[in-house]
Amino acid sequence: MDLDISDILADVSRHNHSQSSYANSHSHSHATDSDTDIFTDHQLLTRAWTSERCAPDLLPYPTELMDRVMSRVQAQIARIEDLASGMGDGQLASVPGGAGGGAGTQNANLVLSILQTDLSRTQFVVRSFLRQRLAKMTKHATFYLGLISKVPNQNQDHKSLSGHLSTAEVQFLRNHQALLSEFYDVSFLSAFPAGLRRLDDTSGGVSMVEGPDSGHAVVVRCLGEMWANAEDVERGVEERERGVQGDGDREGGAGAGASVELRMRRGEVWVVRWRDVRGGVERGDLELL
Amino acid sequence: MALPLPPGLTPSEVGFLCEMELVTVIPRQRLEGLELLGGPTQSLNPPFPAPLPLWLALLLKRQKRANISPPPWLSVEGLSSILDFETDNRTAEVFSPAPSLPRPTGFGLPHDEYLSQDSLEFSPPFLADSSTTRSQPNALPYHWLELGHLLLTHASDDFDDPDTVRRLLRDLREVRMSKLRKGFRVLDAGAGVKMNGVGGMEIAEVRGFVGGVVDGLRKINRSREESRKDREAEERENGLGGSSYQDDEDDMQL
Repeated sequence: MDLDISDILADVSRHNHSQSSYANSHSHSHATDSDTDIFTDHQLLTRAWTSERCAPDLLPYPTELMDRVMSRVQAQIARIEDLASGMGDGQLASVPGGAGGGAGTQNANLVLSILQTDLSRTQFVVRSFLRQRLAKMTKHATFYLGLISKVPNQNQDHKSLSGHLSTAEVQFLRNHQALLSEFYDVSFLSAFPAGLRRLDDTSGGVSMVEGPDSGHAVVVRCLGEMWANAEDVERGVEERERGVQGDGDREGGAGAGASVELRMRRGEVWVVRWRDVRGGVERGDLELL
Repeated sequence: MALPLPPGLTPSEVGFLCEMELVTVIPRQRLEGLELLGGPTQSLNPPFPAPLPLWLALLLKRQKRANISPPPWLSVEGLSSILDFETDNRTAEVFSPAPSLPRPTGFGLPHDEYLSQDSLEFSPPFLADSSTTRSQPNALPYHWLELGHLLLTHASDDFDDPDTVRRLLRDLREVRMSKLRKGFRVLDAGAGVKMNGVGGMEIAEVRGFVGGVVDGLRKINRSREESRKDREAEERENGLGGSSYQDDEDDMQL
């Protein structure tokens, strides 16, 4: 009961918070976001990039965050182009006070270079984030394709598994895998006996589909007041049972659930296995370092 | 390969992250507030100090338009007290504590999406006042090594005594790295290892080694773990400790 009440309280206070910021943003023009939103999005983007670089597995794709960030980047590019072309025109026109005009263009040059540096920093983060996701996807392509195809109805806004990859990434993965298997067929697979040609073969002792290594060591910092993964361990035990009795896909299922119970307090830094903290990272209680 | 690096931030990426930290800048020229992609910056009116991200501060410093005032912990007194704490025999197992984190906002709910705006907790490099002039003078923030190095390289004239600060930073780094190395002895394949107060660059330095050790230990212990898992699965299937021995004669073919 206590848990429910505190959840309800947190929900209500969060609605009050968002309502007040909603009122604030409506007092400005519709086009500008409020200052805290830009700052929060910047932090979220940085956190997403750090987590994706440090995790051995593919994390969910933050669709709305990426949309907001990309729209802001486009707006900034437009603003920089305006500034650059405006400066070019201003220099052609005659400037009344020589010294004042010089300082003005110098300042304008400085502002332009600052904006360009900031833009290239953000573009670096976004590019590195996407490249890291691409590298992880191509490394375990058949595994992720199998995850996507397990969702029965291909509902594009279905949250659980399609949320891990954006639509563009799904398309990329399918094309990549098609090209690769065609290449393999042409080069050597056609020479194999007919029963051994499948790239997603799961029969036999060792599966052809290799999931990502969920036992890799990662460094996490605890951000919530107190965190424990008891329920993740229970869910991991259930998944293991289902995996053993189900399709026998031991490699993907058995390694995924949490196996060791951990508890952390706020501010602690631990070196743990990825599968034990995966739930915490996805919920935002822990941070990858 | 799209990105051929192993999982984990490289030291240059940790330095990139560090450049997002805010530092206090004393401007020498006027500059209006800018709308950057990381949020708006304050307008610069000399001689009033203003907080700016480190990359912007270094850019302005390079063009001699501003001075950077070093944070209180990056001074001779601050570093000496931290070094005394580290070299004290009684604290041989722990690092000097990081600056105390503010209370968590606690807005995260179980059904929140990954990376939703409402449930974000602040963390370095976005902790308020970790390297401005209002930071704690007796605690090393997360990016202390990179920050100290960058400020000493590009803004050494803003320090009272850059050589002593450099020497203290080097000593501090050596003491902490030796403590980290001592901690390798307790590395285990399964459980976690606690490293409170460690810095970003230090993690980047040992990440490769620690990851390799844990993976190696995992490989060695894998046979032991698998037999333990099989035993647990058997116990669960057979309920109250019955054996899995099936007597064929019990099958009645009628």
